Amino acid sequence: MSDFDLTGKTILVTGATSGIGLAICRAVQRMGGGVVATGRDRERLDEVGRGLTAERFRSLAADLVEPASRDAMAAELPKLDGIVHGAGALALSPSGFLSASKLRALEAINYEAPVLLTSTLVKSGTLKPGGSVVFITSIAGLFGAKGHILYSGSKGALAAAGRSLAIELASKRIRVNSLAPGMVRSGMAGEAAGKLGDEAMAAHEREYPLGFGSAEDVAGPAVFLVSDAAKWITGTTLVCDGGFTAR
Amino acid sequence: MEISSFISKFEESIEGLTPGSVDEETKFQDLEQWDSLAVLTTIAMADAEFEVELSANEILACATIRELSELVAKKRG
Ligand SMILES: NC(=O)c1ccc[n+]([C@@H]2O[C@H](COP(=O)([O-])OP(=O)(O)OC[C@H]3O[C@@H](n4cnc5c(N)ncnc54)[C@H](OP(=O)(O)O)[C@@H]3O)[C@@H](O)[C@H]2O)c1
Repeated sequence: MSDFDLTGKTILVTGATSGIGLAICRAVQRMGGGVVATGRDRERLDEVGRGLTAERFRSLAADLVEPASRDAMAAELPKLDGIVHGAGALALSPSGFLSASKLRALEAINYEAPVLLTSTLVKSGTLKPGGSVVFITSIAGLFGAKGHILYSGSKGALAAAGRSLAIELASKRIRVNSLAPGMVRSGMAGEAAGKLGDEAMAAHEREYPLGFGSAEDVAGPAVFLVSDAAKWITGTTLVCDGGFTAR
Repeated sequence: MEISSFISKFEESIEGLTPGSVDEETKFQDLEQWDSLAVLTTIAMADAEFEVELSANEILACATIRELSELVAKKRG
């Protein structure tokens, strides 16, 4: 059996109802793995399930920024071989228009939720020794961009926390990595287009040697990081951006 | 909403603009200070000052400050 294969493994995917998370659910199943999908919306989760193999699919609805809801979901989980933290949100705002409430709301979903959920699942033993944690961060956490202060901060913080988690959890052979996508055509890209305009988005895409990505383009690398093929990779960030930051 | 109050908020928020540098007929997209950050700033300013949600495409469809101000006023209801 190939190290890339996920047969017999169960992977929790957050943000599973849309874009990148949804593509990751499909890719995990294609590689033979089982998926536990989570998101806030029960109906959207059921819709995700209809597109996947039922025997290797479960879903649990939870609002990850509500500690009680997150903990209740965590308590229902089966033993896991991997966690892909895909849930996240975008906020674009220039430096003069930041506020504590906007900052905290973004940190809550992009930083606090994935870090605390990981902590809970490690402590309870739900994430098995030898497991793999993948944080979906962003190239905005590595490089600066106008208007991205809050988003960059939240994603950079997550990647930094991931490196320390990797060091600490190495004794359990649990690996922790970040996957940093560039612009991917998905829910969030639509939001960015709303604030930047179609023309600016088209100009931005011309700066991508391979063009903007699709959610599937991020799913492959995510599956690689959870698989045993990546068993010597921990504490790092894999950039997945069609060459945008290579220039 | 007075157009003058919209103009002063616009001048205050866009980096590099001085009070009095903009009037109703100004073609704001031709301003030297107008760039992608200015679009974001206009969205944030309209939200913070006038509780109006604008999209970039809506802003970019306006030619003059007057049109932009009318858009905000209309969305405010
Ligand atoms: N698209 C891009 O260009 C891009 C680029 C770089 C990085 N990323 C990152 O990739 C990830 C996925 O992006 P996407 O474009 O696929 O986003 P998306 O389409 O907007 O989906 C966001 C997902 O997060 C879930 N979510 C949001 N708030 C939640 C909460 N409080 N509790 C539980 N789930 C919540 C949503 O589920 P429900 O609404 O159903 O609850 C949804 O499944 C994000 O972390 C994003 O920062 C995206």
